Amino acid sequence: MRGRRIKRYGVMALDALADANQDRPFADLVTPLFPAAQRLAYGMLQNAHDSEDAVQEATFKAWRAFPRLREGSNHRAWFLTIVANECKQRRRNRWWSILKLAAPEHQDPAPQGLDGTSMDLRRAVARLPADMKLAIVLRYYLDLEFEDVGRVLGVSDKAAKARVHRALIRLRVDAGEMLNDA
Amino acid sequence: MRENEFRDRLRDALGDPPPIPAPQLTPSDAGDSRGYPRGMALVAVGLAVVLVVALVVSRVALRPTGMSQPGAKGGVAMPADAFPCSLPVEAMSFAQNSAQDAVDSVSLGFVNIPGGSFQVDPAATVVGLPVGAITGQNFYSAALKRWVPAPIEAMSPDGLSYTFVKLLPAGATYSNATSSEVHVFDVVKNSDRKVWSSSSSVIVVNWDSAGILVSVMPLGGGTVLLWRINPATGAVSQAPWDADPSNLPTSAMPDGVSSMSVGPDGHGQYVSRLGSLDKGTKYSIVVVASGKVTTLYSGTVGDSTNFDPAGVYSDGHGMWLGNVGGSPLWLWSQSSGLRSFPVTGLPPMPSGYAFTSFAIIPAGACVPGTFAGVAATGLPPATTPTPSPSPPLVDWAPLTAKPLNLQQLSPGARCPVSPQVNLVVATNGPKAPNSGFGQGPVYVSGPSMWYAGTQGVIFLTDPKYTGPVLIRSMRLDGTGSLSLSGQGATSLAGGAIGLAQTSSPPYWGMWLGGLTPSAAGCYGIQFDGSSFTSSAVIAVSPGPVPPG
Repeated sequence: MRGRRIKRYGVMALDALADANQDRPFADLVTPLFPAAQRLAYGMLQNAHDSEDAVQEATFKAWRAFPRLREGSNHRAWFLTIVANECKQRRRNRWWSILKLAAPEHQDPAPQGLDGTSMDLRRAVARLPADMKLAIVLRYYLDLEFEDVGRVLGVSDKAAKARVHRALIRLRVDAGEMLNDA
Repeated sequence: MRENEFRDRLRDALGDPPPIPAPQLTPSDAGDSRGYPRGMALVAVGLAVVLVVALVVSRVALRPTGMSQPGAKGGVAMPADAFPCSLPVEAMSFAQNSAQDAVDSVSLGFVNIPGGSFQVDPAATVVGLPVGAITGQNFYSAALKRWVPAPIEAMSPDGLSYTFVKLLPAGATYSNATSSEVHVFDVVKNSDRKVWSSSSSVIVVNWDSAGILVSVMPLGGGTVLLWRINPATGAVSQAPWDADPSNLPTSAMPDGVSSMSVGPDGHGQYVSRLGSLDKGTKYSIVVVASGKVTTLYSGTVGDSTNFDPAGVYSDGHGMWLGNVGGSPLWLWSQSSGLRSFPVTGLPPMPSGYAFTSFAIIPAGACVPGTFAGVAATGLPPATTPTPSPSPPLVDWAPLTAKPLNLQQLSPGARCPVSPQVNLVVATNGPKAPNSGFGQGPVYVSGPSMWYAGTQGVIFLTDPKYTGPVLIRSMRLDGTGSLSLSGQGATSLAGGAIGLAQTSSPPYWGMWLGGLTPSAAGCYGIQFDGSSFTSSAVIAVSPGPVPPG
């Protein structure tokens, strides 16, 4: 309900600005970023409805914060950060905690034809703490360079690499071997 | 495993996002309401007024009065400085090496305050008590003088019962359940009672004097709603969004600042960390109650305080917080601020692991007196991993001696991109794509579009060929190169790579690596085996590689 409420308010606010022809710069800025934002949200939430709501709500928040966006800022990192925070916010409550111990819940069905390894990986990613999951999704699901991962996480590229490293360890992936050639 | 292999596996595992509409930036449904009859509009206005009044009344009635400092659930009300006391804790150890399964353990025990000695409770057991859908969390009830298999937030205010969610059908998990039941188990009477059922997923948020607060989400996904259950009657009423303190108010989350959950305190408050774990970063530890955010601590990662909380529980002393690493334990109260109690007697870190982690999680109210248990024991040392088999040695000379048949294109010529062919690929490992480019028996696979910059690539080898494969490449329409890299490949002169191990009948060979064209253009890739030579041509678009 909360998501729907904000979505409605967001649309109304944007509509008002559209009438005044003042939101064009914002629309021009964020529209090309929607595919990446949707991918980020889906990677984090693994649920189409949640992803849609998350991106919608993040867009509204971005629009609200738009006047504070500094000239020369990295727009993509700025917008993806807002989307990431929105996704994390949705998983901050108890629904997130059950992932530690139970199979992933309320996710869209896994893609057809997944073998056991892929299913295990999907479950393992779902159980990661939000920050680790975000690092993994940004790096390997959105294919961002560590520098860009760091921008979204709000840390240095070195720190971003360290966070990815920790997440890979949690996923029981040979992190050292992978990151040596990163 | 190399990065590109993992990337492909992750994409396989998560799948691609379904097409979802872009956020609406223009009016789409604003006109709908204009179509309603006037009577409907009046009804809607009336309902809205009633709703607003109800919300205002409920907000006034439930208005937070500041940070609460509750008594323990079923515990003994103690003044803030009533020491000694023993704080029940879960001691959690985790250790892992690469390419090995992780090992972990949970010990239940007490930390004696203020001395700080940790003692394992040898009598701790939860055997025979029902467990809900969420397992692995334990609580020490001072009222029962025993451990129960429930998280802090699921305990009744008197500490004599706990609530849990049972997923149906029996044995279901949150991913495949068809309905949920909320149960209350009275430990004293040893009786289990269903108090509510739902066709949605249910998670217990908190149990206090107002009832059992649960978070409810449709099983297929959707909007989360909060409901409060009367444990005596089973009556439910919807609760406002901020009744769940884990929902951090937007105002407390500045854009670009990461946040992490520390946990619920068992009394309707929720502790979160704002700010990353990276050294030198400013961060805050905040507690949220009824939408009100209170900062417990602000500092810089790596500062002398080293406050890195893990787990929380509030009692009459204040708010107890564990610390990553196990020591110290923290006690925060409005009157005394943050105090630390160094913990001794922690189990030694196991040897032979690249990664170890340990934490002490508060699991109940600090009970009067000193606890005498047994010393903690650590995890066993790591076992020595079995070395990976060495790849066979290959004499690449016969293959490198084969001529490179790739031909430069004349200026302006169309890039003769290889058509995509459907394949039926069976592997004994990760799922493989069912298409590729080329003439076989080796095919280029992976993305269907190529961009300047590094992308993952898969070379699939038909099981009708089992020998080594030499892979060379060149740009066909100008200067530039296409480099290949990845685990299990031998780097050879001129940017070529050799795959010593390919297929293993009846399974296809699958090599995953990185493909990096230096610029947009037309590229040829030649495969040479002991019994064949074939090629594939790909067109590379300008970079960077787009997300997805």
